[in-house]
Amino acid sequence: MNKDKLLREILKSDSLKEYWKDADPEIFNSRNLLSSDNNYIKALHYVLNANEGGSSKKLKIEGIFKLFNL
Amino acid sequence: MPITINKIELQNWFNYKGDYAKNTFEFKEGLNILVGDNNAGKTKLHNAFRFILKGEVLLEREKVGGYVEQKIDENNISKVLNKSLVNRDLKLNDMTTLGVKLTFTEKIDDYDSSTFLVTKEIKCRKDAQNMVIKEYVNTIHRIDPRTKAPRKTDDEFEKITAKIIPNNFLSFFFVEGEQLGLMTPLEGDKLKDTINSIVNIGTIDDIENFSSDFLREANQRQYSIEMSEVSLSQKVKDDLKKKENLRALLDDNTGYIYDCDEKIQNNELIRDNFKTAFESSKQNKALKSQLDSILGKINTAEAVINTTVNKYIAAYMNQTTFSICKLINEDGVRKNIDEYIENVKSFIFERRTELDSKKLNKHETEMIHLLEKSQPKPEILDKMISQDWCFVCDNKLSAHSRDFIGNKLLPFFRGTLEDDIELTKLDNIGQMFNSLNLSSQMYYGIDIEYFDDEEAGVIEKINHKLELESEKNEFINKHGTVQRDDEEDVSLVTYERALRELDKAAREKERFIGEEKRLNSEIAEIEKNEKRDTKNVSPKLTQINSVVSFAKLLNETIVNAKDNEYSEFADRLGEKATRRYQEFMVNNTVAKKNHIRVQIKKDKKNKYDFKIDVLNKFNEIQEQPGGADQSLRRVAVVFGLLDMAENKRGYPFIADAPISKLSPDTKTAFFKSLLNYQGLSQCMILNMDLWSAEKQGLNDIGDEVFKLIGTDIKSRFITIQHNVQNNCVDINYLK
Repeated sequence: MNKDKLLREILKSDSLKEYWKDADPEIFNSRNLLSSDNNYIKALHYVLNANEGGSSKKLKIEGIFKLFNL
Repeated sequence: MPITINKIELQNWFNYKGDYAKNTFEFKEGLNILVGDNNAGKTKLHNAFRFILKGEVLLEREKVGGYVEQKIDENNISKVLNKSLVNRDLKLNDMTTLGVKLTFTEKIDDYDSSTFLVTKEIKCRKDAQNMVIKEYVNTIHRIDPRTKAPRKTDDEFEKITAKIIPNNFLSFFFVEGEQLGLMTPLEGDKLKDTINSIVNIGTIDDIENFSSDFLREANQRQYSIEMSEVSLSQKVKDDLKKKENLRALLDDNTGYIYDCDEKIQNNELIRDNFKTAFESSKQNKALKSQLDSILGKINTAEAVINTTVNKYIAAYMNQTTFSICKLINEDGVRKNIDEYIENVKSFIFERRTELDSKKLNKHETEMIHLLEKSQPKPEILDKMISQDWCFVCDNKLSAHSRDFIGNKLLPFFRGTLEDDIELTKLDNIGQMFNSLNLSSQMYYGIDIEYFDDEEAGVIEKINHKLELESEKNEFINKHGTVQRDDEEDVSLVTYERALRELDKAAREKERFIGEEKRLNSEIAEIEKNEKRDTKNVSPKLTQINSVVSFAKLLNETIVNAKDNEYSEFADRLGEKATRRYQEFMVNNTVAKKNHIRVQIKKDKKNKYDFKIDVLNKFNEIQEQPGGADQSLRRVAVVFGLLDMAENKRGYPFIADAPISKLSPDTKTAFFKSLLNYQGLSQCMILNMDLWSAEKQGLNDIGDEVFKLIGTDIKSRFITIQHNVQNNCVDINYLK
């Protein structure tokens, strides 16, 4: 599936909207998510690029928790 | 990048005798049709592609039969190497080379391409017994685009051959007609792998997996933060611990359900695979038991007839004896017989006496009568002579007495006196009366009605046997002699075991689903209380609670997206494959109304699988094994997938006899469809369906297809004929 298509579905999802209510979802694509100030949007970068990059799944998940200081 | 096979060259490969130059097939980048009679060399050519692409050849298995892919070694090289070369041309210790060369071009873009020459050879020596392999040689050459000269490279052989058709595409793009069903999977991981390779649907699987793991990790972190949270009461912590334990149980339970699903899926597969064999075996077993029962009845009937009938026939054939015996057994007759016997005895005695009297004087005769009454023993008379003493009068024997005893008495009592005919006849009559007397006792108490009764019984038994024989013949005419083998028992056992396992797994699954409901409701109850009790908490707990909620909602959104993605994909593939299928079947009035349905199945771990069926216009699944619609279903799905692929994969489609089971109209439609099909870069179709053995040329369908491709510059039409005289193959380019 096209990642950007999935990203649009996620960003526009009614149940998830509240997590990025201050951001403009239209400006994001699967490659610029880390540029956001919103940690939830940044987290989407790790999720959507699950099968890409050199780091392991575990490290990627750890990366999300670091965003939230957890 | 699109691949075009330019040519394939064979050396001493099966019936392709001679060097590469003699056995070269040059192809066009579109549709290449190769036509030939049985044993012309089509499948052997297909095997040459296999040798390059898979490093193996399809050979018949010894003893057990059937075909299996094998590497070429010293045990089977004699099957692959040209027989005439080995048996006639090669001398002991001569070396020879078996090999295949394939040249292909990989198009990089509109301006650039690379051409490779792939060579796979086996060098061997003729030994007294067989061929001894000396060396396996695999080489790669790149063809210089300017000079066209080959330049040897160090490229890895398998890496370059995988460019032609990658391994995971082989079962779709390189197909054997008769085994199309076995070699082109339409369900399971192999289908999914291929689908993913073509349309990249697997990306969402990875994303969904990641989001599930993220949610799981978030839940765990939430639990450890909660447990270290001072603001929470002991009761809340106890509840959280309980909830965590319940979640762990729920996870285990989900795993059990997944195991059950897997068992169900595996056993369904076994059940479906063995269903036909089981039913035929079961029917066969019932028929065999029916036939055995008839044969058993015939054996019993035969045994009964053997005893009863033989007894009857023996008695029946002796009815004269019976009549006489009956007469003898009548009152008075037996008495008479006894009298006759006594009379005959008396006649015999009289005759003997008469005979003896001729030699004995009166005194001697009287003496003999007296002696006979005292039943003298010849041994005593012998003793009297030897001792020369008369034991009767206790005196020395006179010369006269010795002569009388020795020459007259002894022969008389020993019966060695000369017999005459009359005496012999009297003896015979006496024996006859004795015999009559004895045999008459056999039928004592039996009357003529006995034979009438027996006759009716025997006829009834014989008729019964004849009926059974006719039942047997009728059975054999209808069902044959019904042979069974061990494999049938395997089918019965395997199928029945699969059914039992299925039933067991379904019951287990039901139990685990019940358990899942119970665990979920307990967790929900705790969570309901949590909302009341966990208000004033630390910022860290607030943060993790928020991340957990996010992870949960994100996962739900992705799972929904995945569901939609797969459903849409299945619908689209169904449409595309149906379009291809109906195109193939355009001339078949029934099958052209069929359609292909692609279904998705989802298991407990959100893993998807596909199931592909052909349905008729009433939406009934068409699953006649080995039918043409089934073979083309696979081709239609592959072509449908390629239609869906946004970028053409560009692998050559190489099929041996893919249309052997189709009607003539459908065969033509198949070629027409291939000709117009833009999804494939190149097609090699080897078949005998366009060939007439009688004409030794193209048949009507062949002519029609030949006309069809006549104007297409990207197509080629090649005939292959076995040249018996020269023991090689003639390759002719009709186009």
